[in-house]
Amino acid sequence: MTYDLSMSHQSPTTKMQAVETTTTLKSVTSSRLVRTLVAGSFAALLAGCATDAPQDTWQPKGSNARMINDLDWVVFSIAGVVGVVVFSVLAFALWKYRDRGQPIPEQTHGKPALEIGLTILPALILVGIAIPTVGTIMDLAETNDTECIVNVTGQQWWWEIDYPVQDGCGGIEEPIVTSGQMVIEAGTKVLVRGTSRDVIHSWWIPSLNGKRDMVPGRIHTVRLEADEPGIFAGQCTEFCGLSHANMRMEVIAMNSTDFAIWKANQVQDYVAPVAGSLAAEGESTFISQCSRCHQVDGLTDSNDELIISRPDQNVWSGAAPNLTNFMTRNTFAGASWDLLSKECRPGVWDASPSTIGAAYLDGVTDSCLNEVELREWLRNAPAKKPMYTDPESLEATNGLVRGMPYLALSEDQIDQLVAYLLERK
Amino acid sequence: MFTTGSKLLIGSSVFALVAAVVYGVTQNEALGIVGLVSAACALAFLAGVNVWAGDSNLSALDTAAVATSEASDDPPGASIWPMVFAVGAAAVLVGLVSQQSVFTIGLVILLAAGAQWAVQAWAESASTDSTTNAAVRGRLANPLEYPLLGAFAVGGIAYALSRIMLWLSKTNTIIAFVVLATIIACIAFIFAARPSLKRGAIGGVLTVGAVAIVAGGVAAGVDGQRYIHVYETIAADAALVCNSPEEFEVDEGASQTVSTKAGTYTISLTAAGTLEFDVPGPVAEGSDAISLRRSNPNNIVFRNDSGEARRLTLDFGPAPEDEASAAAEEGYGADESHGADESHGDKSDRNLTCTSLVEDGGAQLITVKFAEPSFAYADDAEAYRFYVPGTDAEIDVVVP
Amino acid sequence: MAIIERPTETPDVTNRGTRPAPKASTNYGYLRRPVETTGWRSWAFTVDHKKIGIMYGAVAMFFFILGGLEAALIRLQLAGPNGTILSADKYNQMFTMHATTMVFLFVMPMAAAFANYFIPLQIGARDVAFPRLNALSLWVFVFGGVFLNTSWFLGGGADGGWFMYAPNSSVPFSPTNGVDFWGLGLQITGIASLVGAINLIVTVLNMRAPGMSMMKMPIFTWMAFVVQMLLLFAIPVITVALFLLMFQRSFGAQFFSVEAGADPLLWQHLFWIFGHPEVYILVLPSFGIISEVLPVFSKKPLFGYPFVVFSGAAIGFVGWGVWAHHMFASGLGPVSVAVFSVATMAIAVPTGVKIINWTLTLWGGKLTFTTAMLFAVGLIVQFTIGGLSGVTHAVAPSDTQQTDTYYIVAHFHYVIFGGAVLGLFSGFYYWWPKVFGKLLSESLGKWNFWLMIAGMNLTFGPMHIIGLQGQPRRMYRWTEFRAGQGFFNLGFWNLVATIGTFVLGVGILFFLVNIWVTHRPNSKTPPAPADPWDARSLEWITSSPPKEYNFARTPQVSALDEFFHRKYEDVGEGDKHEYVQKMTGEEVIQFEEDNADPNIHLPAPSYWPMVLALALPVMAYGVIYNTLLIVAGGAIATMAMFGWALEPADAEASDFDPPVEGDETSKELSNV
Repeated sequence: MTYDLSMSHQSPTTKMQAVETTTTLKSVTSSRLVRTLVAGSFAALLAGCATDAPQDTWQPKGSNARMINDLDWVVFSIAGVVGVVVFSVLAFALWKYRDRGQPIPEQTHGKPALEIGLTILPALILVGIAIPTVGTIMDLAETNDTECIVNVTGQQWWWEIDYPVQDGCGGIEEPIVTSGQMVIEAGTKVLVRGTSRDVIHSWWIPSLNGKRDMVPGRIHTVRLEADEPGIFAGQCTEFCGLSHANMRMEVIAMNSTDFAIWKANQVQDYVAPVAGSLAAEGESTFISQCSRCHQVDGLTDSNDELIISRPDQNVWSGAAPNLTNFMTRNTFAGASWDLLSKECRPGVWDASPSTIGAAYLDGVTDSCLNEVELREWLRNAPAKKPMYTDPESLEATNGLVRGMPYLALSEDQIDQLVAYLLERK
Repeated sequence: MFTTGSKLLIGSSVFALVAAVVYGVTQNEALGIVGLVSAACALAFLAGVNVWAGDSNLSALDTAAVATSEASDDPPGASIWPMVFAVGAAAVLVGLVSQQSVFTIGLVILLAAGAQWAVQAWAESASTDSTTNAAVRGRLANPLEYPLLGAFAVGGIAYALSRIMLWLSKTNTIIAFVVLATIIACIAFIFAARPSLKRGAIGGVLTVGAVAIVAGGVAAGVDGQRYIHVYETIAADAALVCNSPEEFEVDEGASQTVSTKAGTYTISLTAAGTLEFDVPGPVAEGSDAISLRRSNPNNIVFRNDSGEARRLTLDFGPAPEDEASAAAEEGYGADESHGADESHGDKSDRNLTCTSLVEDGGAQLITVKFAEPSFAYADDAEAYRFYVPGTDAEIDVVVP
Repeated sequence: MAIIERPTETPDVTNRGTRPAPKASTNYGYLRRPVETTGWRSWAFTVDHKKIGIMYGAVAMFFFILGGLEAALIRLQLAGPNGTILSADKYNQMFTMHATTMVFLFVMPMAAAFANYFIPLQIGARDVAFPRLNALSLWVFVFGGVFLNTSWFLGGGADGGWFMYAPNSSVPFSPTNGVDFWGLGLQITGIASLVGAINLIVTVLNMRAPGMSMMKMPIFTWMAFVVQMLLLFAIPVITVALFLLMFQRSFGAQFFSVEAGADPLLWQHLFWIFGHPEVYILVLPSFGIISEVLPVFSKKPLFGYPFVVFSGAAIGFVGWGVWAHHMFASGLGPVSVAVFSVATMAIAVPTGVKIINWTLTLWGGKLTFTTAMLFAVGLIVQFTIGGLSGVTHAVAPSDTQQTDTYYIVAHFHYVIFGGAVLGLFSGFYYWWPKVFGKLLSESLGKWNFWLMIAGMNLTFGPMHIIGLQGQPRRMYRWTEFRAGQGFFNLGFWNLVATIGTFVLGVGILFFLVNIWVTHRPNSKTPPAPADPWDARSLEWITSSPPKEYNFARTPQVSALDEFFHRKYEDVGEGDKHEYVQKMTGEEVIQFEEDNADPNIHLPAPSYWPMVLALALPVMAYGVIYNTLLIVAGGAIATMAMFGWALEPADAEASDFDPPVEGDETSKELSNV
């Protein structure tokens, strides 16, 4: 069974499609009936084939995506009808006028009136499509009614997400910086204001809205609104180099109570690990190995001075994910790998809208940590996710890496770091 | 048989050998002996060849070949290449002891003459007919000669012309160019209108023109070019320029418009003397500071509606040690024409960037990039702040 | 290349009495014209548009297979989750080079092959307007294509996608030389296209047979003419863009550096102003081909010939106003998006007109389903699907969901494979007897057709689903977490697409087998009849394969389907039409040959086009590796240009070995 109607009529090679063509052929008389049939077969196709692919473009979960989807139905139906008519006529002609020994037909170059009529007809159909299209374009571009502003910044190969100080989003008094996962309040119109630090990336959460390229040097906006709480998967869709396939993101919508808790969590003061614990050793390992690039807000050095990471001195894009609240997120490395173990993952991802907020706010606990992949990452990041970090071949970037380099950490150091990171929430 | 040539060679060889012996006895020095003996051997070899082949390039044994030999072809015509080759060789030698440029020119002449010589020699052996041979030569050499000579001629004239133009003053350059262009256009018109003009006349006029230009170029080049002022950049004097509402050299001719550029931030200096910012989409309510991204080239359009020429300055915080001292030493602060007052002097240790002076109603694009987050400068009230020198207008920047 | 040749045997002196003045070619040799009519020289230095067309086709076919292998690797990588056939780096190179190869080194030159071979034949000319330029465009294309592909052995191919968006194409983001090879390679092949375009435009405008007005021109020539006009204006745009890229990468310019105030969208505008007309450059020649094939096998003229012509021209014009529909997601602002969205829908009208006219050509005809006809009908069906899915993303809001997903991949493969490639195959089967004098096997051809149709629908059909369910393009791997659940999830459809690729591959293999079976030594395939299809247009009024001079005498044209009207006579009265054959095709051809023109002049072959073409990759390597090579290449190019300009128009007596007498040089060529 096929999914896209225009496709299902292309080829008389499969029996199933031939059957469908002939059924619809009989009903050419009434275009309304055809429309109903087409719409009906769409529904059937959707039910038959639609798996719950997280990035399905035909399962809108918010107002913006729904506007697009409504338009899709109109356009796909019209395209479907046109396809059916064209292929029916064509199939009829091929069958009727096959060589059966008839005499050579009249050598005519056509009838101009018929020609003009058949030129105007598609033009009219397209005018019919153009009107709602232009309306939807304008509706989707409206930004003044948004209630919450979130900045996203793309770089190879992850998204930084920050919430500037504002009255919107239920009030944000201190900037929040996170990465990979954007948390919003369900039912709130969110304005994403995006740009990029290096090459062009594209922000796309299919169930919430279409995609928008994030271009360095420019600020582009796109609206998001989720009907109800849930996790909505997305992916960078503008080819952005080596690990383009590993640059993903999610939007997590939660109710206002949960969202308020999440916001408060994000700006909590830094709590240093208990002295002498494995995590405390992890803190000093983090300071020596990681803090050149990764910011942990509130982390201080031995002189009690704030440690300010300087990714611009090490990374070409000039940024690295802020790890202050690392374990409040549940994916890492460009949202490409789960921080949650396979057992715990469905507990969050498949949770019902009423429970998902709480499940997400639990963060990643000791028992739920996907320790295997996190350790693989710490052991040798470029082996897990293709990145440009080989010190031998960095002349083009003046020695700066693109991505996380191989750090040659010992297994002890990895143990310490995992313990330390587990407390970052 | 001992031909005339072989007798000469044998004699020379014997002489060289005798000379070697004499030299060896009297001088007792190895190098000279080696040289003379080598010469003797070489001459003896040539003598041997000569005895075997005779004086012509035919084998003396080949009696039937006379009619078909190349020796019976037309004698080769005159050639200028040996002489040019010699000139090149001389220039190479002179260049070796004097100037490298002479050496290079000499080398080029040497190679070019050698190549021409070789092509000519090759072409002359193509057939007995010297007209055909000339055509043969032309077919290979012309495609190389024409563009090269043309390029040299055009390049030389263009270079000479550029020397003349750089020698003249700015205004005279324009006049000279107009006059020259008019003359060329007039002459071209005459040539076009009178197709019957003799080739010699046209060639003569063009030659005179070319020679005049080249001569003028040589004279101008010897005299040297006019004074050309090198403008300062803002970065060189940021500490002074960015803190002053006055006009500096860097502000001259500064751009006053920005092509409509979507997707940028805008900071406007209003008529009321305040700074306001605008962004794509709505400005978040409750934010009084502009939020810019770290490590990102933020494009900001500065619009000036204040009624006076103003610049927008951004304070990145204290300048790093070495830069601050450098700024203090090299800055305009010591310059008598722009005597810096106290407040300016205080700020010279800041890391600043700014637009050039924007007139009322004008706009200019500035691209700023922050390496550190703003909380790194939490104690520094001056840092991460846009301001307009000469007014109180300012706006804070938050970099998360 | 043997510029200087020693004589293989000495002249016989005794017979001639005295020593003759040795001619250059018999004595030392020099830059004589390569007048050979057999052997590799007769191909390498030819200026015959037919030989050039065949070579264009052969080289394009090679690149088709190369691009197909790249596609196969891509599909193998994506057959299952987390594919490991290719590394991320190699995968990125693979899809970049697949697209580049297919677009620039297969479809465009294959269309050029048809245009080169058939435009002069269809308009009754003996050659193109500038035969040496024609040879130049062939060799420039060949060397450009080879140059582009040498990147595989010199540090890897380009890895930025065929659209090569800035700033991802800058050195920090693509530090190997792949992008340099890509940019310079396309620059070189662009020269080939531009030179070819100018040549064919002049040919069509100036060299039509007497009586052939523009509106009596065969439709393939018309469409190819529109394509040449598009090329003439599109190639300069990409040339500018590629120069900016070259200066950005090789000479430190800042055209796309955001820090320096540049806007990366500049590249996108430049690229797509070229890139969208490029789509029509790819597909219009095939439209022309099937507009020839359908009437022949329907025994009916093309329905609405003027409408097809003008819709082609309309596509040529409107095609310039829709480039930004490739950029609906790049943040142009709603007004621009709306304008380009509507403009894009407008271009669907002339395209629709073509489909309607093809269908109505079949209507009321007398249809015979040869392989050529099957491919032509296949084009109508497959291209219509591509066109309809095209309308769905002319709708900008829908496009923001579909762009950069596999839905787009599905769409443009239906358009380019279903449109352009099927048309080219239709042309292969239709014109094969014309070009090579033998009919390809119809039974193998039908295998070829059905396997290709099944293969392409299996490959590209599921991509509609994959795309609409959210799988982006250009990802070296996909993971199960985003593939959904159930049996028919994205994994299933990805696997189907991969299987389809191999079905498609086997289909194309059948074509190669067909060629081998037809032309292998001791092949039993008899020579084709002179008019195997009862054809309608001018190229058939000569022997197959045509003589070097094309037509024994320049044909006089009085009707659109000249050949048909010479063969058939309408004996019906009033509105009743009855067609009886008054002459067979063979008789028409024989009649022409019996009345051959007494004096036929043909252009002479030349070394210089190939020398000039060789200089370009030398310069390009120079840009990448060493500036001195640019100088060397530039010197060769200049020498070749002057050598070309100074070369006499015709071969001289002394160019022949043995020398010919007097004025016979052109006859010498024409009588071989």
